Amino acid sequence: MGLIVSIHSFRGGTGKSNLTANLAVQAALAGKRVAVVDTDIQSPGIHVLFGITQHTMGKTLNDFLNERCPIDEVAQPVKNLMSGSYPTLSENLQLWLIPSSINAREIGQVLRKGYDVARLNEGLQTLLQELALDYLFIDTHPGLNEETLLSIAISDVLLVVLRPDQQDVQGTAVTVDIARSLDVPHLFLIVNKVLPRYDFGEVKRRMEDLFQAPVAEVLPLSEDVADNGSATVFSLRFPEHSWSQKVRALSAKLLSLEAGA
Amino acid sequence: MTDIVRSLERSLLFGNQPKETLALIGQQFRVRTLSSGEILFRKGEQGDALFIVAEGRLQIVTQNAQGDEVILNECGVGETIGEMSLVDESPRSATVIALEPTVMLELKREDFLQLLDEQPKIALLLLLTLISRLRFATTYIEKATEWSRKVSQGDYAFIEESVPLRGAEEKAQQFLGAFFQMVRDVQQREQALRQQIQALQIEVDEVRRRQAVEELTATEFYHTLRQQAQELRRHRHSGKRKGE
Repeated sequence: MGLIVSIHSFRGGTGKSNLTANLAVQAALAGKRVAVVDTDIQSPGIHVLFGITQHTMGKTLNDFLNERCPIDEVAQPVKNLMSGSYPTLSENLQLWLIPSSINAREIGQVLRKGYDVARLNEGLQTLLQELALDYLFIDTHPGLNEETLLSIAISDVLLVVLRPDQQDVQGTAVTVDIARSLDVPHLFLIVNKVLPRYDFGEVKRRMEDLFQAPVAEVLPLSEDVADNGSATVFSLRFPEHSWSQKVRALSAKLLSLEAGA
Repeated sequence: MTDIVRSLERSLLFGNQPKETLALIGQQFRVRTLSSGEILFRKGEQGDALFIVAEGRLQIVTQNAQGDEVILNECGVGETIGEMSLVDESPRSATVIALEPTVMLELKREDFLQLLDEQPKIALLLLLTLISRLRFATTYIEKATEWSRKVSQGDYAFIEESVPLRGAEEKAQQFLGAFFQMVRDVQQREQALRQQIQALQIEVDEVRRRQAVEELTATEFYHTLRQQAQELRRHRHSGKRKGE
């Protein structure tokens, strides 16, 4: 049975979606069957990294939540989406994206009425089964609303992304407590956008001390990654870059985990 | 008028010698006066004389790799300059400038050699001076080895125990100067990094944390979710992947 990996951050701007896309691609490149679900329905964004525009976006998670189609009709194979940019991308790549609608009306509807959390859960379980996934990555909405609490609750692995900054830290402390209360089997922190002049070992130690939770990786604030501007999956385009190497190491750590524990 | 013998008496090089010897040696010295800012010799010039400071003060300077002037040391009454070139005629390793009106006693190489013929024990005297400088250099190499070990262990306390550089040969001084500068820079960088991390006010307000968690977990939704999640996890991992 596949693992559900939620990537969460208490505030926006931590680089969460970028990390989710890179980790999903790395897992798929390692031969795993992987899907990425954008549950950040209020401010979707991860589709951009996979080369989807408003015009090329087909059915969305919103269609499923509003009972207009089954979930498997929303899952789009990523190799089709990216074959233009990456002609060498393996034909065997088993990676799907379940995007969220970027239609203003659809987003407005969710903001006004919310959506059925139980149906979201049902959809995610169906995806795991139907696509015979090894990993289901959930790109969550920042904060701790009901949809996000659900994602955390059903996760086997929760990756909490934070910057070394007071507000991120305060929110992360709450998220960590909630994850423990919901018995998430694997909880890791990822400290992102750390100024390169900092002592990364020291940052790791302080964060682990503060949260009593393991830090899976400390990633630098990289001008190159920022310059890429979420236009592509960075570790795919620049595999030799030091940032990409760190992401691969993180991915390897993730792939070594087992269900339950 | 400078009293050469009295000046030699006050010098580190000849201070221990009896007056008769000094009178003899003194005959070979010439008095040379420098005004403030006047250059005694420049780095790279052929060295053919030894100097003893009778009055005043001088500065020993060189240039670093970037071409900037680096002050190596200051030299005062009784100190000797250039005794190595007296023996081997090597080029001057640094530039020497008078900091104030200064009186030097100059001993030319040829006069020195003549003196050696007449007074062989002068050679012994010079040998002793050179050996003490060599010992000084060797001691500092040993110390530098020990200091390097300390630096790699993050122990910088030795910087505070000030290092007496006087008496060291210019190159040794240059090395020690660069070494200590390096250690100070490394220490400063390390401190700056520590401060930056401490300045990252990463403190958790535990009261707010508890309040936020209580609010989130107090709802009916949360209780149901927690129960469902537990069941779901049990169910999923006891089940099989479809098709198996």
